[in-house]
Amino acid sequence: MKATTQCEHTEKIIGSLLSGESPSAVLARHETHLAHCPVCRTVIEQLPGDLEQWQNAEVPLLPLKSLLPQPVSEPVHYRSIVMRSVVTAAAAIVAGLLLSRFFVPEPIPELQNIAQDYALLVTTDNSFPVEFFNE
Amino acid sequence: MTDDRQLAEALRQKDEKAFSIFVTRFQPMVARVIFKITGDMNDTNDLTQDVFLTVWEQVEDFRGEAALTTWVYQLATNKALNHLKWEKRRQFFSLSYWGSDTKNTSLPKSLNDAPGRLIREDDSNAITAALDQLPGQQKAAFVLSKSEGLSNPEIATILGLSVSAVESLNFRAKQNLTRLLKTYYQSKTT
Repeated sequence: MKATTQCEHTEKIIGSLLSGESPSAVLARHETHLAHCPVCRTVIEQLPGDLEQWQNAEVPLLPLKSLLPQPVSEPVHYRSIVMRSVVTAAAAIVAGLLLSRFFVPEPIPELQNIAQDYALLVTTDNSFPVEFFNE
Repeated sequence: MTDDRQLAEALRQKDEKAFSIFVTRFQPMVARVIFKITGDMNDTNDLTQDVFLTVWEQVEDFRGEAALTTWVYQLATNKALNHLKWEKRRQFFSLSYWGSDTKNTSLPKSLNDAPGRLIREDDSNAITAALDQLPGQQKAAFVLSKSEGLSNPEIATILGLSVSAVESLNFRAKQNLTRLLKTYYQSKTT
């Protein structure tokens, strides 16, 4: 008898069982060989059961509720959000410019005094370096 | 509402009661096919939800040329196969794939043909473990044929292939499974 790892019957037996042949028919055909080959015996003992278990395997089902259509919230339109922000910003700038035309700031007395002193100095003191300021 | 055409028409009208009937009728089939292709329960739950969402949103795509069952099989199989492709790509680009210790165990399943790694050791069912190593389409063809009992022309419609292509897929699936199962049962005997 050949070593079990080299047995050429194993593939034939597996192929027959995978093709749907009944285990008893396969057993009858390879009876003599099976008496001496432990690998083929394991195949004929276990493969039909494994195949049946795989074919009849029950898959746990999800609750019906989780598969029903859910109410969908309003879709978010990112482009319109950006457009709305740009338009708001532009409107704020235009409004600011328009308001600035009507807004005349109050004169600051300290600054007025300094300006008057400077004008007096320039007109009365010839040594004052006017060019320096005019540059 | 037992007739497929009536049910599809009611779904087109967005009839929620009809959708409940549809889910109750088709969920076991959808979950079973997806689970047998992906082999993962969490993925099965996500993809099952995805299938029914697609049905609700795209029922207009069902033109009634094929049976409603075929259309649902098509959706479930495509979702599962796309998920496998995505998963394979994700594994390839993950850091662990390139790590020296984990590289071999995270190889895409179809490429992993080192004899010692052919079968996942934690799998109690040899078929599940061996199927895990098959390329997606072979796996889908085998599942639709041997688990769902569909004919080759029906599988061809579902996978969008010719009948001869399906025959070839089934032949290669059986060949690969035989090789993998042989290794598995040999390791259990010795």
